[in-house]
Amino acid sequence: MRCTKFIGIISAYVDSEASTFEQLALQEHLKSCPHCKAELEAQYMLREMVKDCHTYSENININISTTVMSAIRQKKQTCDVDFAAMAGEVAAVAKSNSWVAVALMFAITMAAVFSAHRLNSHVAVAEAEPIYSEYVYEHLSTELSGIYYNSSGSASQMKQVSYTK
Amino acid sequence: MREFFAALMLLALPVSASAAGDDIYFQLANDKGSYNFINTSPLPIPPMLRNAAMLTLDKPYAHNLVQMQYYQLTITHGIVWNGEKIVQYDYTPINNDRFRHVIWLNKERTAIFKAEIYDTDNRLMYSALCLNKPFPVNDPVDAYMERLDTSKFSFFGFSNINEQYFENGGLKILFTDGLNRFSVFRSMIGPKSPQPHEEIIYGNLVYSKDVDGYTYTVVGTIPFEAMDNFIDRVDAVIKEKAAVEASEKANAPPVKPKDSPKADSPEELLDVPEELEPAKPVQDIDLQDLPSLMEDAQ
Repeated sequence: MRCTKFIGIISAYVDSEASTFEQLALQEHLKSCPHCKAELEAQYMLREMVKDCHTYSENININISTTVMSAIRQKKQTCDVDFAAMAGEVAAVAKSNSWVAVALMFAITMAAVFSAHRLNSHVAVAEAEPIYSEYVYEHLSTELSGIYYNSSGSASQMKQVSYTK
Repeated sequence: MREFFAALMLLALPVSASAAGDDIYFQLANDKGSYNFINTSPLPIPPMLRNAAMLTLDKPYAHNLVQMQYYQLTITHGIVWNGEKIVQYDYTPINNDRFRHVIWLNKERTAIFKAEIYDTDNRLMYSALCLNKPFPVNDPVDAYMERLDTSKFSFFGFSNINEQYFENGGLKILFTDGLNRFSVFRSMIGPKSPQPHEEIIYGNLVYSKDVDGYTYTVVGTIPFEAMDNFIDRVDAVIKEKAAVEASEKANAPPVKPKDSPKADSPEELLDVPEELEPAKPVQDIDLQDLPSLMEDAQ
């Protein structure tokens, strides 16, 4: 019963919102109550996690923006997902609901990592003029048939002409 | 917390690795002096790159079709790979005008365990290694060999096996000497085409230059110098052919119109069958007279 009273004070204490009287009372209580001491440590841990999450989201905000923008500059290709904006929104959510923010951050991070890799690998494969890679693909896919397959997989029949010697 | 994210990401990577699929490992040279790896990397592979790697392996191969006067062949026995006895065929070009091929075949010579292509500086351009099951040799079909024998273009052992002509004046000719292959493309000069252009894509060399209003692009496994040489030769042959065609056209007798009726004499032309009698000219009809005209018809 006594602990129930202090649980609320612990939360306020961690957020530096407890009054001086509450702080003194809690400190006195913690000397004799291991449960409340554990609860205080858990609250501190959660607070640190949220802080890390917020910091991490800021880092991602910068890194992913850079990656996406550099990919756009190199490939003139638009990215469908604005990870920077999403990370910013999550940072805002983190202030009110830490666990939802953690889950969202994980999902966005995974999506961003794979998306950034997809863009980078695409750039690495065809950094030069795309038309040259089309030529290579056409060369590789040509054999006797007179049918060639373009990069999108559709086949085209071309006119066959024979040379006279 | 960062460790937590890192651990989750590492857990997710094997999922994409298992999606990578087959048991053939590819290595393709690119323009940056490095390679694109397929199946050795757990990261997603662009489909175009994967297809290009597979298409290079999936080509007709037969030792008796290789133009051996341009290669020095070294056959090595006694190699064992995954418990299988391997025979290695090492085709080293005598001159620096084509690429070296190293092929690992099973003892029956019916399947390939490894295929490698090296450029004239002995840099690996392409490699395919079958880990478990060998890749069946793609036997050249009769039509392939026939084309090779009756090739109209033939330069230094390279024969054309496929010619395609585009309606806009472009063309594509595929050459092979049984091992190395290259295609010559011709298209109209574009507004921005920096020439000449040299590049390495998917383990293939790409060379492009403009000649008399056309851009020629060569793609394949021969050095850039040879590509430049082939462009000049192909262009010369095409011009010669065009000149011959033009002179033949000028000396040709006048051609009858396509729709002219076949008739041996003028009388036959006038002998029109009854059912094809020419229609009578239509007179202007007043709609008020229409009932009386119908009664006359009845």
